[in-house]
Amino acid sequence: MIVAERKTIPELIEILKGQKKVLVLGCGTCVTVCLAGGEREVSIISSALRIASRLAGFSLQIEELTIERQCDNVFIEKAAEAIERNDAVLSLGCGAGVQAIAERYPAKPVYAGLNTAFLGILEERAVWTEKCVACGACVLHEYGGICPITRCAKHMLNGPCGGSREDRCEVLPDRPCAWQLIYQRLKGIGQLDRLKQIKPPKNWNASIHGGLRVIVREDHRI
Amino acid sequence: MDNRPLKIYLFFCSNSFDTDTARRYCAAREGEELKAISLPCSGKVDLLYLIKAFETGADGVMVITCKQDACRYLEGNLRAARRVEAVDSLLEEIGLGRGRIKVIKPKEEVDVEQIIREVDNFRAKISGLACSNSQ
Amino acid sequence: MTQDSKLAQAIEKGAFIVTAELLPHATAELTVIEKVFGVLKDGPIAVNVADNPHGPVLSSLVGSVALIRENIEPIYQLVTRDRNRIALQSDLLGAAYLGIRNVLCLSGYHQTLTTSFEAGNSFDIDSIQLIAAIKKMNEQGVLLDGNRIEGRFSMLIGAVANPYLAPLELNILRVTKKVAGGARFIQTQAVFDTERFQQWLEAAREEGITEKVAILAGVRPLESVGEAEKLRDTLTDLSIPEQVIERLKAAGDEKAQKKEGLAICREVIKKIRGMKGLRGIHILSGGKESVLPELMVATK
Repeated sequence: MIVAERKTIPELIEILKGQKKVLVLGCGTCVTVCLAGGEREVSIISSALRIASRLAGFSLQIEELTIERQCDNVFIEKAAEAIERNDAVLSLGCGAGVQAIAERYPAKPVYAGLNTAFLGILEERAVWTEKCVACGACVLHEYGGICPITRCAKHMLNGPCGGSREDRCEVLPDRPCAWQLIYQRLKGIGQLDRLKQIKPPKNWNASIHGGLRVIVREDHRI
Repeated sequence: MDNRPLKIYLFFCSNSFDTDTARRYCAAREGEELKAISLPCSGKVDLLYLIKAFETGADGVMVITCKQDACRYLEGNLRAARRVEAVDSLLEEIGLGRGRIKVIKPKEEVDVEQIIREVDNFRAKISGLACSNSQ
Repeated sequence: MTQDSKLAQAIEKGAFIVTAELLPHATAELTVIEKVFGVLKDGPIAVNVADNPHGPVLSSLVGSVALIRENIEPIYQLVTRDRNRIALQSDLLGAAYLGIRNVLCLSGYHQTLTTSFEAGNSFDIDSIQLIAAIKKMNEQGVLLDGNRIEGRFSMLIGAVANPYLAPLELNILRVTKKVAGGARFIQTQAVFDTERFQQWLEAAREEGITEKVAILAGVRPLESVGEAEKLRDTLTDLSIPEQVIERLKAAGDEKAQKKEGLAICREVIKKIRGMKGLRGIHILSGGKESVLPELMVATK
């Protein structure tokens, strides 16, 4: 799922300065699960913004609403009236949600209340970790199901860098070295041979490096 | 608005502080607006309740938990403490500064005196701070 | 493919090889780094020029050319952190044009560990892919995109190995790939623990690696307890044993620590220089090139 976290209150106050009536719009999908932009967070952030805007001298009038999915027009529809009656929207959706709302309401300022961070999973209670950079050309089958592009800070495709340690990555002491995990895993499933071939340079065309990505399914278009 | 009464919320775990004592304590503090909210477990306090308390004009909030390792729901008191920390930090972001919210954790199973002493100290401290968020 | 650098010839002949390193400064004036050219001229067969190891400094390409002008043979270091395959190959063509004949392929410290920690990175290809790309340029005269190089291109390829990267099986697997990719020489991270180094060298020998490439053991004189602890705490590719730090501490004041650091380094050189399968020493002076003469003596 998509994992995000809230911008700080001073940042949000700076963004909303000059607005009078703002709709704080939550999303019931990924950002609800990662405790960043669901109904509960909408209330907390709205409360915080009411107090902070009073202190900053421009009492915001805030309406709260959470829809099931901000990245889908069918659900955006349910926020239509609330969006219309406010001057601006502070979306607590992911980057896709914010843009979906903005595209749907060209005349309405739509601001992002979250920083969309990554595609990841809930590793343990209240800890989310990144697992996928959506490179568009999955290589997980070659690496025992552990992604070297996402989880190795240097995207190394042919083995660890010289700074690899059994218990950590060169970059951050609390992150495991992806290559140690890949090695252990391939060894465990009897596929260590996969590591012996030299993997050629990756074609990054399918990733963000290739420009904006669009997927079209002609068979579903009529 | 600076003359308005001090407004303080007391969220308390019903296993360490009883409702009658809390009411009597609150009623005896004239000129102050003290509200006591009984919870089956301090772990019931949510960020949302706590921040709402401030939104609706509280100058300070106390969360009275039970004694260490005495939580009937195992880790409710630990969670309460974490949430109070989170709200303290959120209040700093908001611009109210730290120190307006506090956990009171009794040293003994039932220690009304200690709780009252700490509540007194906290009230004194809050009344010394600038008025929080007049509406 | 014959290589014409002095380093390539020394590898061919089976001579004991000593290389050193130059860390360029953040400067546009050669006078700043010229001071160290004198010591680099005497002794080492070739000198590595580091590629922005800890943040932006004079480019390793220019540093290499500066050495060539002084008749010092450079080993041009190239990290994959900052350049994509386009820039890497373009710079390699330029390097060959400017007379550079040796290249060392690295991924480079992650940019968050440098002074430019806010920078984005490239990491388009990894060090092994870079090695293989240069081999293709050497042998087939072809770039990664299939385009032909007009005229000759020849570059002796070097790689880096960390003798202390555990587990050993993964370590050797990685070195084997570097050799298979086309590396002709390997320089290692600094050796302090000579026993573990010997185990690694032995494992490399068993895999036939020492037959195929010249392994040069990195050595590094530590200047002080402070430096040693900082390196230990910030760079995971370095393994500095506690005993080494204790020895530096026991030495006394700063001057004594520096002397002890050099003594430790000389001892390491003496312990390892005769090890079976080792072809030479790479003196990593960490920006303090002036210590070179004192260490050169120990290699003989």
